[in-house]
Amino acid sequence: MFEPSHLQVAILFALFASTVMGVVGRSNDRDRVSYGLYCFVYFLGAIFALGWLMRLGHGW
Amino acid sequence: MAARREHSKSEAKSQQVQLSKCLPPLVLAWLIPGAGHYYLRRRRHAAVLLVTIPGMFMLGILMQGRMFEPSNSDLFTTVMTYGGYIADLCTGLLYFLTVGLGYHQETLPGAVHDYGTKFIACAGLLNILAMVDTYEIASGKKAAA
Repeated sequence: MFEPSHLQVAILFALFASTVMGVVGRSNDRDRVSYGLYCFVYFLGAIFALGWLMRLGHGW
Repeated sequence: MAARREHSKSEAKSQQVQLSKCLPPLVLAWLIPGAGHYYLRRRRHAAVLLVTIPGMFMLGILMQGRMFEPSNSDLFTTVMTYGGYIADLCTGLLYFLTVGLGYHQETLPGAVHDYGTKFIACAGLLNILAMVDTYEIASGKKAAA
């Protein structure tokens, strides 16, 4: 069985979702790549931001 | 009056033409992720979709994710299970093949199985995005790349 960590799953999810969103979200290749990267970076940013928020919310 | 009737007749005819033009790629896109784009000669996009959506579905299966089954109990459970079931169905042949070949997963303890369940459902949701894109290309609402 494939048993990734929470972070690995989140990064895989971000990778797949941003790839599809890049392909369907824009109408030329240059915009597709930049939109896909933009989505991926924002997914990762949200993962780390929410992760730290939960960590700080629960106290050290 | 006659002109208006003629206009509505031609509008109905153009809608029929639109539907017959959009339906085959839409059904293909539902059954096999990327097939709608392939049908519309967007081969590179089809290849990317064919790798990512089934890839996500396969990872969900490898994590022993569960397929949603509709159940009617409280409102939250009903919405969750029906929503998940529809998302699973949107993976098309992947869902029918997996279920047809006897894949059935009980609810297991641990987070990894839950990630798997979400991966399978999200593969269906991403396929909905691909289907919408296929429809927009087929109907001419999206400019050619």
